[in-house]
Amino acid sequence: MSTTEDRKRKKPQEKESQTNSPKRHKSEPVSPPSGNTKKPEIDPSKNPYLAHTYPAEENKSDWGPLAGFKRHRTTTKMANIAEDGPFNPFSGNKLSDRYFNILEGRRELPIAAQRDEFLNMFHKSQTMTTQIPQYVLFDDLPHLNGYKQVACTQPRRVAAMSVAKRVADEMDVELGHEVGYSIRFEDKTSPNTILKYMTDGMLLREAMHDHLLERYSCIILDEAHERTLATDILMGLLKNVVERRPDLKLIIMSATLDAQKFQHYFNDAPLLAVPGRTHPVEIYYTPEPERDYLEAAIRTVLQIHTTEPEGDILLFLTGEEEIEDACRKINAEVDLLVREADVGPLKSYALYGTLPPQQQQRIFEPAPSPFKPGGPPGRKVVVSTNIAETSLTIDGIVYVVDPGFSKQKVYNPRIRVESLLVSPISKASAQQRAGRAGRTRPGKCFRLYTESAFKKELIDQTYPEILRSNLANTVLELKKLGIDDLVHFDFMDPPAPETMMRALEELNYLACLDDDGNLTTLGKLAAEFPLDPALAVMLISSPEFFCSNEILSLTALLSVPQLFVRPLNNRQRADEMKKLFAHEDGDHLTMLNVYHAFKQQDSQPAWCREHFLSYRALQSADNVRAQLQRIMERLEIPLVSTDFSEKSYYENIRRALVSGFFMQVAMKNSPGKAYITVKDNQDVLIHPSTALEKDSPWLVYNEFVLTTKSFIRTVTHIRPEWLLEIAPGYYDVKDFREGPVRTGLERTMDKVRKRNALKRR
Amino acid sequence: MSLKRSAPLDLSPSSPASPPPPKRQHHKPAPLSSPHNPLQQPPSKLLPSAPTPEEDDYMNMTIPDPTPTGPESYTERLKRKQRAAELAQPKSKAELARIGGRSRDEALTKSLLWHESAGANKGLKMMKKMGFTPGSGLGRKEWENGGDGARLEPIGVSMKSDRAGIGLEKATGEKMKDVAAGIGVEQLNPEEYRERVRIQAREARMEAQFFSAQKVCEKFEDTEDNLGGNAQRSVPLKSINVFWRGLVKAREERERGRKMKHEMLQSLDLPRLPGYDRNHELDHEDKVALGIAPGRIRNFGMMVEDGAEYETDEDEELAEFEALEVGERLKRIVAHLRSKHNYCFWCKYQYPDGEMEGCPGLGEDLHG
Repeated sequence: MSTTEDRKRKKPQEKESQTNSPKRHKSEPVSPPSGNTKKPEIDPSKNPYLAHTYPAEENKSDWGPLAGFKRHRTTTKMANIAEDGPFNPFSGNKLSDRYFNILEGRRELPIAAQRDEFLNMFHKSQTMTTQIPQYVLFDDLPHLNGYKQVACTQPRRVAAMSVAKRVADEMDVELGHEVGYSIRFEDKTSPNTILKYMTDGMLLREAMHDHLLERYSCIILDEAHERTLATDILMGLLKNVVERRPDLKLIIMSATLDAQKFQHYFNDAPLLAVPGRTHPVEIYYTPEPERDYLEAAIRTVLQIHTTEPEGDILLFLTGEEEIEDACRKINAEVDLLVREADVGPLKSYALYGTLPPQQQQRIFEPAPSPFKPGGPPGRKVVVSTNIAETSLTIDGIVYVVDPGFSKQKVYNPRIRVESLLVSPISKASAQQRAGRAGRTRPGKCFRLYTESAFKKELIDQTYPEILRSNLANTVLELKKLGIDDLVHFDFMDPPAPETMMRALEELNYLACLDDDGNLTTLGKLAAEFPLDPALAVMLISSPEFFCSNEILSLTALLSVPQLFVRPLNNRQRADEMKKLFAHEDGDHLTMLNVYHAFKQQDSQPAWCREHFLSYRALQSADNVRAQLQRIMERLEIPLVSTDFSEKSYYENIRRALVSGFFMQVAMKNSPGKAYITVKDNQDVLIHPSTALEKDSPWLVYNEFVLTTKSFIRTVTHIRPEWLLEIAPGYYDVKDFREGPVRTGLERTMDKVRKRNALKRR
Repeated sequence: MSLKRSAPLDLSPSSPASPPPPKRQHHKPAPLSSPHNPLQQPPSKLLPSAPTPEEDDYMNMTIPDPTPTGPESYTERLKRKQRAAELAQPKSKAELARIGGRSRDEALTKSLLWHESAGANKGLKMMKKMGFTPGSGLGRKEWENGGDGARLEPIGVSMKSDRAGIGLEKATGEKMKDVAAGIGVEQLNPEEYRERVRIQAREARMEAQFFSAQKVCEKFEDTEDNLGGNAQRSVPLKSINVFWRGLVKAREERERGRKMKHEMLQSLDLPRLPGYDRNHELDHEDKVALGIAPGRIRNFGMMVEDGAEYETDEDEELAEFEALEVGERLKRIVAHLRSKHNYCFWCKYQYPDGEMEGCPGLGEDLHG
């Protein structure tokens, strides 16, 4: 039996194979340290290094390096001996030189000194990213305990991948075997996996099918202080699961700032405080409030550059435009300074989410060297959004400049708008920013506000995502998780009642919930997709409009970030290129044109660059599409297309769009560009990036965002008759108050009626 | 629809717009034909708008208007509305933003729980079924009474349109309060204030008059010397009459400043200048360029005459004159124009002789 075959098997079968076949663990025996993987021609069972894999359960003395280990009875000393090798206790391979190098470093971590303390706590109760899960492995022994796994969740996909890679290195196993990761649209695990890093969203999806999460013996929620939507739901859920499954261990890892809150929430669970390996940071406040925080920030950066000793600067600003503007101004000022005064070079780097990855990588370049040896130091200044606050660590930062603002996404259920507005940060966030200065050596943080403003004006904690989001998706997930009483669900921070009311209402209009709040068949199907309910419903109903292939592509395209690249220095050319794909009926169809062209061009990166399209986004859309297609096939949703030559090709797509997005419709209100949203009667403008050319009295939009103005983004021209036909429940005229929308609908009804009369004749 | 209301069509057999409906018999007699029905009025009144009940009659091109005003067909009405819309001023951007902001703010402050449509809201109904009572928060049951953590209102939306730092609004707000409370601001006498404003206005006006008188003076002088007003001056500054010397000086200074800026820009690609603090590294010319040492700036190719440099020295006569009150200066220059050029600044007229026949006198007030 080959190893690959073996891995494909499901767990129960594997148990069997264990007795027959010696290959539960990676069976290439002992590769020499040189890394030669040639398989020696010996019987594996005669191999002393693999001896532990045979009698498995019966003879515990043959557990190899783990001999004598009793589950939840181990000590640091025991683990240390096992870690010292020479054989990998999990894979059975000989440990490599690199492993020992890493091990040396690991033993010096502050947490290593508290391993026993941790283990004691872990043993006694049910209740930290790379070390704790490994400590757990050595104690929990999940692979010897009914093939369970240890899960460690991360809020971000990238973190889940990179941490899994790091831990696989630390444990000297291949990534995807004993240590793997599972993120949305990508699963890198095998039946041998005992430690699984995953996004919190993934674990939540698993819980939908396995309410008690039976396959895990221990679940670690990492970075819990970030309070993502999924982490919050998981905490509420797991709190309950732990009561029902006493064998399950739960570890919450968070920054120390709000640890007590977590402790209290989990019924005063034991708390282990691990000191961070950071240096002291001196904090400076301004004596007076600033008139212009951007100008003050630039001034401060230049002041640090001219007066402070060596060390890089991190400046927090709010958005792409502001950051690029600041970089330009800093560069201009530094040129002047260099000419006039004796200062070293200062290189500025912008950092924000929509920046292409290769440019994001540039921030890790070393600071420029001084103009002459022994002269004033050269340094770099990274001007970043709050992604440098938590998600990204840049070494060498000694000075932090914090104006105290960030852009926050906040959903408001009253007008159903997602606002993206500049607002003051929280105290916790300010502390996190300051902490960034102390990663290499003692640092300084310059806060561009007064100490009393810090104390009085800033809120304590950043609002968790659950308070800032549309909960339609969450409510659907909770329903699918078998939670009926949503009102009394044990939220750590309960959201506003109105937000839940909107979510339930919307799900009801989408026919995912019936009037009693029970999941409908459509709702159950929709919950199978890792998508917003509107998108899922559109996808599920698309075969009725003979365009499920196209809607599938469109759904994938709407799930990935910005498709069109519009570099500051080449906006005009980028706009010209976008015009090549433009469909007069609007943005959804334009996006579809892009995707079709991309596929026709064999997905070439060069072609994307030439046409100002994000290759990364398109490729990830392609990936998402494949995953969604698999789900559709599993749910037996047919994949159909209208023949392209048919007149109704695009019309069908637009109609299918209405089937999911009928609640996101705007009507033209005046001769200008002004529209109003139906029902909420909000004045909105079409986002200037639109490709829509046709004069459209009615539009369906993908998002309603509030930035400097109220914008609707990604819009497509539709016909009002479709609204009456596809969503009669939502477009019941008597539910509309007197006004242009009602008049418009009434007029449409008359038109339809007359047309029908004509037909009947 | 309001179509049903108009069943008693038999009252208007003569209506031209609505031919007798062929399928009338399918309709039930309208319950509206009671004696109290307001539609049971003299047919003449009902005639114009009498709509047909036959929704499925393709011949019927009229639309029942909710307010029976006159016979207007659907297309006519549509056209009229369109015309009206076209005629209406398209709203300006600012206006749109204001309206948009208002409707937004209004909707944002209104809770959905107490909204007029809340009763019909199915989301709320579901929540009530789960045991929710409006006014309380979500979350674990024990919390309901304590009510500590649960949020009752969604997070507010506040637009920030400037770059004011944190705490600024509050700080300025407090200052404004101080002003309102009269702290740190001296009490104002309204009489005094009015008087001061009046004097300031009068002085500003006289300053303008003095300036134009200066220009008149210069023009007289220039034409006498056969020199164009803006031509290069050949005489030293100090020989110019003190009355308008200030004017010439200011103009030349302005000109020189502009030229200097131009030269600076031109010279930007010259080699970098050394730093200010490295005195010993500088030669004499650098120091001149940096304004550290006296001397002429040659590098920048300044067209500065020796005389001009001399002129920048003290000019006591001019300083003395300019120190005078504007009223006095004006009076002197007007007198000068009269005596030398027989010109009355107020009549705006140059008299042929010194008698100045017809001019009421020296002062402005004499000129009505």
